[in-house]
Amino acid sequence: MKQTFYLLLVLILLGCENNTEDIYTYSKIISQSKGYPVFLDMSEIGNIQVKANLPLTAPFKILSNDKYYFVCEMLKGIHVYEKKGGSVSYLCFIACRYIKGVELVNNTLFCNNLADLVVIDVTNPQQITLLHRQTNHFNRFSSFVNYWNILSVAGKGIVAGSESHVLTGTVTDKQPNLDFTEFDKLYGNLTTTVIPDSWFSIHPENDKPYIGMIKMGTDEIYTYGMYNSWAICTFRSGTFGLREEDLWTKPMGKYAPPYYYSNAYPQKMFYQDSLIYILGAGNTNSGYADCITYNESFPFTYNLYFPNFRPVDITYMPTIKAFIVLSGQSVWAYMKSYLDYKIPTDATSIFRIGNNVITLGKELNVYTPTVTTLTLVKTYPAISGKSYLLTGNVLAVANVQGLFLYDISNLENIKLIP
Amino acid sequence: MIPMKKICFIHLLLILAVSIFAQSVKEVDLTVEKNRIHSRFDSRNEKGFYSIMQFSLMMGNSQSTDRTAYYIDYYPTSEMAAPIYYYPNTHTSLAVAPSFTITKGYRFDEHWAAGAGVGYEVFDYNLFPLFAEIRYTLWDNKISPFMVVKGGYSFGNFKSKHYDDLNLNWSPYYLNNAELRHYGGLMFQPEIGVKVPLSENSDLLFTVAYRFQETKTVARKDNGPDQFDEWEHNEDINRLSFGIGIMFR
Repeated sequence: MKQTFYLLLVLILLGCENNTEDIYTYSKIISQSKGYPVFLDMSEIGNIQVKANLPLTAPFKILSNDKYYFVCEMLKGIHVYEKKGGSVSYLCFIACRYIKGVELVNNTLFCNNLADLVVIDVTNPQQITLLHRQTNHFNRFSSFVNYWNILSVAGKGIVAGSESHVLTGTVTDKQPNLDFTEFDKLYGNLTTTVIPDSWFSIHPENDKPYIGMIKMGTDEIYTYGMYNSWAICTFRSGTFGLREEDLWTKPMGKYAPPYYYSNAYPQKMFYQDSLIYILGAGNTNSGYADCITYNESFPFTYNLYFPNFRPVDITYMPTIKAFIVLSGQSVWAYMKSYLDYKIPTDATSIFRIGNNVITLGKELNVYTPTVTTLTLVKTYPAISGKSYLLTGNVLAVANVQGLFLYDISNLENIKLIP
Repeated sequence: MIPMKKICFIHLLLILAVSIFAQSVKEVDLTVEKNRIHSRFDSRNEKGFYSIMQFSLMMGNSQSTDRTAYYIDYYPTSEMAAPIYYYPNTHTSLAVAPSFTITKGYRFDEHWAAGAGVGYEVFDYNLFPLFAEIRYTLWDNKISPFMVVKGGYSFGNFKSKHYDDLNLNWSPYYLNNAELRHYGGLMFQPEIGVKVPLSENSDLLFTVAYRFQETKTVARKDNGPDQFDEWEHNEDINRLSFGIGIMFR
């Protein structure tokens, strides 16, 4: 009985626990900072206008229709040359800032204006008409390549920078954060017309936005889609059309959609010899070239990888079934394996004319390739340029002196067309 | 502070002990006959005022904090003294809180009585309960069980006290240059006991009670105009109380 009593007593005592609750309250004067985005005001940048003349410094692409040559100047605009008989004369300059990609459908020019796609009527280049602006078209990558985009906010535009503002006030446990309502009103819609210098380097092809445009068929413009897809643009009967096409689109076009490497980014896209080429930069100094072939039955792409260089340009030589690649220092070939022809060159363009390979840079060289060697046929030191356009027997070359036309009917005797 | 408390309680116990024997001139003679308890005080007043002095010990588990010194070889090659860190280690242990109360009231009849009282209690800090009670006694003039329900409010400190170094049993455990104030809180105490008549005017009471006591303690550190940090520690204390008291009538 005694034991039971003591046991009960101990149990009761053990049950007599205290219940506690701790509450922390405070009032402090603190300073908090809040960052506000500065949005890019496109009113200046988006102003596409015709100017009389501007020096040619960095041509990256030449286009032509039956009346004009359009020489595209990196980040600045388009020089227009009028065709007069067999020669050309400078007409005007269409200022389109931050241009990196351009295509022409008859008299309609598609190009980028920073991240926007603009469609311009160039029937009369001296009196252009902006037909359509597709806002942020080149800045809407998704999924694993979100980081390819420049930071932007839907409805507000591209974020060009940020400003931080400090607010000092009293916070309490009930109101732990300062009230930034007034600051939000003051600084919520900051804008600038200036793009930070750091956005574009001396190699703008490496910088965002990543632009790729090629004309396919009669009037379709293929651009990079949101993810592993084409964004196909048209401008028909005054209406802009846009559709995404990926591997699962039915019916799909005859070219496989591009593949987006999450550790690389595309630098250049062009169409040549019925092939779509996408050249890209990978980590450190590596690069790739995706060669998308026309194939009606199933999508097919040659994926070339170069661990030690970023390909500058590429062409296909059907006689030896080889892709021939400029590395910036040498000429490589890919047949069933990679081959370095060990020909030192700093040429920036390579293309095929008949069974010959032409390189263009500080000089023009004509080569004859085999599966083991690349034999120099002739060098033209007077012909230099950063971009070219091959139309029949006429080679248009653009350099800082202007646009020059050459007759290439005989590769051993290339002549300047006066 | 603690020696002062001891002195107070010794005095209170002396008063209580003297009171027990000072109120009766008649010898207590309790006899048991045929399973019935008789007393010599059959002619006690059923109605009238009463007063009780009671001493109790309230037992239960309480939270306490040890501060373990932790040394690190901060400057092993230096002659500078290494810093000492004190890590609070909180645990629960048996705690006993003494209580002294004085109650004044009125007996309505042989069974029912009601009154009000004040007291002095020592938990981790002093509390001063102010309470009302309702009392039911089975028999008035013989050894009898009784029940009491007490309820009221215990007061703590009436103003804050400043500490250069303030150690607490709860977070933040340590503060320097801070104020501390104990606010007390509501109390509730159901009680049962046995009443032993000592004389026509006095009874000895033995009690067992459950005690519920709310407390609130606030540590505050002022950092300038309109700037402060305040830590409020609310505690519901549950105790088992054993008491002895004397009732005068």
